[in-house]
Amino acid sequence: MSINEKRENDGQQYKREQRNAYVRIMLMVNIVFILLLITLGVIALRVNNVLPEDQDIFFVVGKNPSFEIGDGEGKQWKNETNVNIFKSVYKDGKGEAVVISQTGDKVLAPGSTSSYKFAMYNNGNMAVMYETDIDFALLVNGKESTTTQLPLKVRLYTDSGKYLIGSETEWKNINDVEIDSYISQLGASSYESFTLEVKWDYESGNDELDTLLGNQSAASDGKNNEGVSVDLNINTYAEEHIDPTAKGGTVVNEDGRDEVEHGGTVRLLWFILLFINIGMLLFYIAWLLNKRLNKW
Amino acid sequence: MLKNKYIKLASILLILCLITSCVISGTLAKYTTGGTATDSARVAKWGVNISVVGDNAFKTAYGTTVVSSDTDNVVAPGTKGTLAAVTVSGQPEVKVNYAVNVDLELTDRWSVGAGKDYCPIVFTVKSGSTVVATVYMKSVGENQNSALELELEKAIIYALTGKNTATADGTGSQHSVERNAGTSLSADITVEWEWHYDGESVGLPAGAVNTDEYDTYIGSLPTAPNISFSLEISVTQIV
Repeated sequence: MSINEKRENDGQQYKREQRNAYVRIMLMVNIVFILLLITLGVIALRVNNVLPEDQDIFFVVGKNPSFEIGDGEGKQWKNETNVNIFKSVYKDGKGEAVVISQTGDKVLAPGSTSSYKFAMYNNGNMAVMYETDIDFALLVNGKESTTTQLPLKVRLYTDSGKYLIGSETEWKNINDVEIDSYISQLGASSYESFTLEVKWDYESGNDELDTLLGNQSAASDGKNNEGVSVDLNINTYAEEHIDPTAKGGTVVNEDGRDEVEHGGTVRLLWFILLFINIGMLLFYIAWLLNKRLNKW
Repeated sequence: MLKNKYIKLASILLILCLITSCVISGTLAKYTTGGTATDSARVAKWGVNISVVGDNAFKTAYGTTVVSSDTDNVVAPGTKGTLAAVTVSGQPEVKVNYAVNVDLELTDRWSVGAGKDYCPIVFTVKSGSTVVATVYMKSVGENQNSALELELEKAIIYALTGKNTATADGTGSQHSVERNAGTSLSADITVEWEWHYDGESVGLPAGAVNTDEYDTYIGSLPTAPNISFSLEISVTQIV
């Protein structure tokens, strides 16, 4: 091999070594950059949870979902939470008891009325979609009945005046209630309140039926004959809205400040950078493997 | 060739990485929650039963001392009987109004003169064997019949509930009382009547009007006076 050829080989060798070194460096830089992005993301999530509400972080804003349902007594709904829609004692306008359960369990009688308030709270920094429905079951001696008539009436409405059951002038009989799921959305830091009203008219127009139902209950022995009773369930399901900036409900704080940055654009940029770096990492690994195989 | 293969492999891996990241990020990012509130109630108990029996208040014969000349029931000095036997049961879980309505019909032949109602019959209200009240006409005069009815109603209500109806000042009702939710209404009473044989005999309530002169007067009338009695008891839920 001539000196020139040798020099050329050496030059090419040098360039190859430089290229290899360059690739290795880029590989290291990629790994470091990926680790940096992940670290920044974790820090952003942690810091966002402790920052005051009117401050924001510039690099990434994390999701902070917080949806709950509570009632006027401060009880939070979980899985089949027992609430106080019905009562064991009903009082008249003078505060005197007119219906009293002898056993302490909840009862219904002509003239009894109940009003139950509950609300959906979105305390998080992103919008949610929620779905609510109500179902009743009429039980005779512990078994569900679709034929027994109970002169119980209901209506359900939001604090904004939207009626889900009945109307301002109309109450629905419990046997006739048909409600499709009510679907709505709540913006960040917002809530929506509901009121469920239940009543049994004192003058129902059918004293015979009222008396028959009362006598059935009096004849109950707590075993096979339990009289007539009602089971009521209110079910709610919520999930994150596709648009975290969507509006809905009543905002908790309306002090004119700027809206909280949800970081959608910044978060997208973060993901793009992460994907690019992962792609580059895979490319460099493949390139190095290829080089090694070529050597063999 | 091998070089191209690895470049292709790297490209495929990159695309898979991008797709998987999108899917996983979407799945992991989805926030869901829910809750259910539940409650139940039964119908409040009623179960009030009232029985009023009074088929044999008056008779056609009282031993051999008083015997009707036809099939009509009769009353006479020295006769007595039971107007009504009342049984009430139940412990309703609602507040109730307990009302009694007595209809005591004394035809005008019971009058012993113009504007002079006369009724020698003494009514006794008993709870079990205990005398709760004795009701009788205390004077001869107009509209004594209505006063006698009201006194009977008050006596019967008191025997059934232990409560006095409204006083004469007009508050509340004089024909009914209210009972609180959860109160036992159980009661067993009788309403009896008696026409005392001798008006001046010992045992007649003081002030009761019963004289041989008036007894003979109404017994001598060409058309005999009539007496009829009905008792209605009702328990009604109130709010």
